[in-house]
Amino acid sequence: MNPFSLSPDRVLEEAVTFNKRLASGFETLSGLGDVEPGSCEKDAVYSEDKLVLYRYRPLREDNRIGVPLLITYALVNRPYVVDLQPDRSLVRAMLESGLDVYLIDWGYPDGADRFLGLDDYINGYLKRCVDHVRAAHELDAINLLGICQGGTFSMCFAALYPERVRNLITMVAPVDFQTPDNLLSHWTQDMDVDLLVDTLGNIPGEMLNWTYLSLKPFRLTGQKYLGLVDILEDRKQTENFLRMEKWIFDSPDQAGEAFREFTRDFYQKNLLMKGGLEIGGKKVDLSKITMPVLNIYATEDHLVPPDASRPLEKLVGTEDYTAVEFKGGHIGIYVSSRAQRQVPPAIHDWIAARV
Amino acid sequence: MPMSDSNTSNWINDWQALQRQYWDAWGTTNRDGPTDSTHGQDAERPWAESVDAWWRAAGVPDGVARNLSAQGRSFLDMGQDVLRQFTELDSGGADAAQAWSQAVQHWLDHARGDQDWGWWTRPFGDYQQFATHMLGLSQHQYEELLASGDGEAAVREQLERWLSLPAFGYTREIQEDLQSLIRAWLAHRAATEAYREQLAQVGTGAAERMQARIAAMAEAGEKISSLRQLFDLWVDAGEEAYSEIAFSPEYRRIYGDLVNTMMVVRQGIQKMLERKARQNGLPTRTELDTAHARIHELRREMRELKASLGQGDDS
Repeated sequence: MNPFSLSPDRVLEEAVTFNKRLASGFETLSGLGDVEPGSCEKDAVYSEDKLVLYRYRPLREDNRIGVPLLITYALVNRPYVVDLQPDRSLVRAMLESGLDVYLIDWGYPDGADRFLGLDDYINGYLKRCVDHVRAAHELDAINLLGICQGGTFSMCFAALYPERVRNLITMVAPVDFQTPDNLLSHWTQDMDVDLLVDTLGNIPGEMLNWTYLSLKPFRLTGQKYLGLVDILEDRKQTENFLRMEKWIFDSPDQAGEAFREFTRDFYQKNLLMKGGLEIGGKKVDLSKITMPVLNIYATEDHLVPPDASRPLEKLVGTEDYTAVEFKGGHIGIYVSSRAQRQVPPAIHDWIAARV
Repeated sequence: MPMSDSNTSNWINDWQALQRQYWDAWGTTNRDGPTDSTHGQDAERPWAESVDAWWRAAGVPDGVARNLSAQGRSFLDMGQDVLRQFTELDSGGADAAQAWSQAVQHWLDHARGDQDWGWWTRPFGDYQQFATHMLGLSQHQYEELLASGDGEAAVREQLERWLSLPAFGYTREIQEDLQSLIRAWLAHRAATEAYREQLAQVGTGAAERMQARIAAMAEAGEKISSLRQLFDLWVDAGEEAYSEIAFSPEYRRIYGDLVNTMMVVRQGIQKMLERKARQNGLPTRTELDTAHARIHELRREMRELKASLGQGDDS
């Protein structure tokens, strides 16, 4: 049976409707102004170079969990995705559940930061942020939540300084960088990262944007914008789209040395998985992670495929390991309504049972 | 170009009225054959041209608008091509579904092997935009350079011979740098061509997959009842075809070549710019890097020293 059930009049009408939506969309777009991300109040409690450590103001005083949670996000993209807007905010939901939340903002590296390496980020910045929170709360160890590349950093940190981490939570964080379904990894294998960093210094955010768009070009450069036409008449949905769009393309340049080390040691040599990784001359051995671990990954993640996260279970030394599979993608785990319903309660309940 | 609310709404009403006339005229054209009713717009791409005209008239800035416009064009191009083919094939008889099927097939045949994936102009365009920024060239310069050297084998051979000549004399180093830069550009040009060919294969693969999907829908008794459904089928087929190529060892090698050769070109350009800067007493990237590296090392030593004295954050 022939599946085509079209008519010239309907096709023309569809084209006319499309253009009408564009027209009314202009009214929506022209009246929007800037769309600013962020919904929860926070205070800068520590800063160093371009890094700022924030503490979110509590949303409830009762039933608070005494051990604070420090969120460490990736160097790529900006951490405000965890608090994009009131109804898309993992942070808000965590605050409402009684967690005391800190967040590291790595800032936007410039030419002066070109020689910052992973040693500076993990043994330096991250360690000093953890120590600041520990001192502020007079605690030996705090809860650490690492997201995406920040999750990989948090694994390294917890392995290097296990006594300072009470509970480790990793979210869409890769540990095996060479799974067969990892396109990003596939492309880096024949790339001369030394030539790249020696030539460019810092790696421009624009290069990362181009790379990410190239992962799914039909959807990310095409279908997505046609989908926008469908919602252009709805101001709220358009604002949501633009806020997300702002975040997606808000890509800081990457400090050259850190990019070199991360690409070479993680993507090209897969040392975190295979063993032999050193950061600042210190051996990273994941079996030293003996504190409880909660590993959350997304089943449809094209940037960090679930198989890139799952092997953590076999590599850590803890006997208290929990995995949570989130049904969704790398972006959906931050902003989808399902994520708002499922992820913060999972983190809260898991921590509450361990402090 | 911002507009006041009342101006905006008047303008949109006028535009919509004009569009209605335009679409009606175009509908008539499709049914009754060509007339002069395309109102002076691009006769080949009137649907898509209407989107461009709208954005131009509205003065909407780049960014999201650019993407909307590009994808609006793609979508309407597809609709127009398919409808045009249908109009030519349909005899007004009972088998309109067959005419639609052939119209889509004709469009897919056109998309096959097209480096822009049929009516999709973004992927290679996005790469070109990225490359021009990386190399500090204008789009025009980059395109001209890509097109250069397309001549006869004898001319290319002559160029190769010149590039292999030893440099000498007062400007020896400059000659050598120039020869290296041209060699690097030729290598990058070849890598870009290989990348473009890989992308072109996606069009073929997408067309085949879309045919298979349409056949599967026919088998399952499912219907295609809108342009948008057709578009979404193409997106699914395209991603599948692209993914297969992008995961191949060949694509990986070509992608590596593309980035690596681009960096060699950029190094050559930087070297020449730095020579010019030094001649004019200006600081260079290399000098700044040296200074930053020394500052970084000093900070590290200071932290270690403080830690050893029990004074630092790291102690």
